[in-house]
Amino acid sequence: MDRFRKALDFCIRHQTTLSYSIVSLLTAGSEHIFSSVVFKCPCNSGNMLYGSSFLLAPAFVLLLLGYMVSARTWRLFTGTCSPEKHFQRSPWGACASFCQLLVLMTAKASVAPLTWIAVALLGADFYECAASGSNMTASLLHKFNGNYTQEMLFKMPCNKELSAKISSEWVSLQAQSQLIGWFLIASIVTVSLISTCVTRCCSPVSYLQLKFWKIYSKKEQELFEIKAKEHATKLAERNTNCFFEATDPAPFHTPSNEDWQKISILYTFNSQEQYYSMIHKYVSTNRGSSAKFNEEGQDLSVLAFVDETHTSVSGL
Amino acid sequence: MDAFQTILKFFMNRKTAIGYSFMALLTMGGERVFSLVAFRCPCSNENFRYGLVFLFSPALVLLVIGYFLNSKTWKLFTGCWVNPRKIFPRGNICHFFYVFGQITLNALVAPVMWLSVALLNGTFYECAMSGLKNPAYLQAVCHSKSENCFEELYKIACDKSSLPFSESDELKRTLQAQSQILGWCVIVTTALLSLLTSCCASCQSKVSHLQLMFWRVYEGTEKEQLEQIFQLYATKLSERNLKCFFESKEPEPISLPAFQAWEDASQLYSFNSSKQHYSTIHRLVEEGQKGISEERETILDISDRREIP
Repeated sequence: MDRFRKALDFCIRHQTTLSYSIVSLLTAGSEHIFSSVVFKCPCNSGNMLYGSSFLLAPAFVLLLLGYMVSARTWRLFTGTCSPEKHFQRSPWGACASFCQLLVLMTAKASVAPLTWIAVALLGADFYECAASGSNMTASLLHKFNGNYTQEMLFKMPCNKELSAKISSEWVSLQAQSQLIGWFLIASIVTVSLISTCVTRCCSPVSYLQLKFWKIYSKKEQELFEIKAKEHATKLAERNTNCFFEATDPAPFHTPSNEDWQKISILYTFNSQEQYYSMIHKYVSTNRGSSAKFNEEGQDLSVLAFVDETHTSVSGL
Repeated sequence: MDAFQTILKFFMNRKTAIGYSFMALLTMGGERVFSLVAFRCPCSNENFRYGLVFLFSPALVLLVIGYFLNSKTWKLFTGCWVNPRKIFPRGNICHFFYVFGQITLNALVAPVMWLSVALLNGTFYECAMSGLKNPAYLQAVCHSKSENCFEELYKIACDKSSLPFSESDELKRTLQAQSQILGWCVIVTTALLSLLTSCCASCQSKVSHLQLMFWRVYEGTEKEQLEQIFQLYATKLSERNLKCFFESKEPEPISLPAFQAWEDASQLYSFNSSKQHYSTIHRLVEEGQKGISEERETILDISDRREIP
């Protein structure tokens, strides 16, 4: 039981990494299922369209799913183009922050699509089918050996002997596919390492404070959910009891719409102050009424820490 | 026990995603069962009709089930014959269509899943299109094949045509490829449309993000509280009634909401940005009966937007 507890704690602490790994494994697994069960290269002029649709359409759908599931998307978009007057930052600052977050969201949402493309390229079936239908491959093959026509190239994925013959004489499309796959994996790893280094280098916050900030954001999110549930339970109890007993409701203080809007603004860090979130800033500046509340910070938004795992009340 | 609670909480937090995945798996399983057990392409002039029926009837059934299982449908329609003003309130005719549109979008999830899985499999489409007698389509499919292709296309699904094996195999592959490309188009279009509509709806929201989160929590809690209080009052009332019946006593008064109060509480909630109300019952309790009969300002009903039936 104790060991089970320890394993569970480990899982909870590293749940982000674990969830990405599980997503990658599921993507790899479904790619195998697709290529063995569903995929049948038509071996005619439709090869290119068929192969590329199997390679790219699932990746696109996974990207869209990644956006939908991410809590950041909804945090970013909710109320942005509403005609109501919100507490807005300067348009330039808001735009820069928005773009930065969009890039971050795309990066996080790209894990599944890139895994799909990489595994599909390593599996080689989709690329082989698509390349055998391309005009460029046909013209290169014809230049190499005039005996091979485009019709023969179309039939290559369905004909094992023809495929072996062309691979041994000219170029193996399967090998090409796997090379591209490895190259993609290597470049993704390099790019992510470089971008993480650059981001950390440019961070205005020191390492330990950044670590504390991440932990604070997570704890505040957890406690927000707990407190919201408590507050909602009390309010719901009061309302349903008053409805049934036809009595007047006892006064119950709940934050006003303006209060909610004030704490929903994207928070940006300011090295002069010691605030770690919008709620922190709000309660420290006299419930948002002091002038300090309106001061803007540098462009390091706290949304960089919003974990996708906190989707419990974000709507999906 | 504590560990079990943590695991349960983890799954409850993701119940929407788990619900959708479960629905997808169920659809895939059901489609497999249908195509292996029930589907037998007739290989005659009936191919087209047979294939289309297998493709679209389960989708229609799933759509109807989706309507049935959505609680908003019943909230909208209950009592509408007696009082049509409920559905078409004065000055706000579009309200009904807006809510009905939301319910339809929710109910369309399962049929679209079925369609995409069925098209990716290719069996139904292959049977249907091999029976299509459209000259342009036949020309496109059979353009470099033997003469028999035009007459005997419908037989290829059962491998009964007189065409050589390589040709009939290629024709089957072509039809399956068309089906799968169409399936991917359906999936991509649906995903794109749902992301765009969700983003637009979210963007236009008059409620800030954190308040929206609180609101969802409140809706869930209020539902639970209502269930509990219904149980409580139902028990009290039935106990009192049966006790008085068996012991021939006079019943003590128990206060219950009046008919009009129930009517008012059953209306679909619409958000008013100048007030601080989170549900119809909240508004009813704070403002009394007069608040409900005022005209609705803006319409936003969040709670059931992503409700899993």
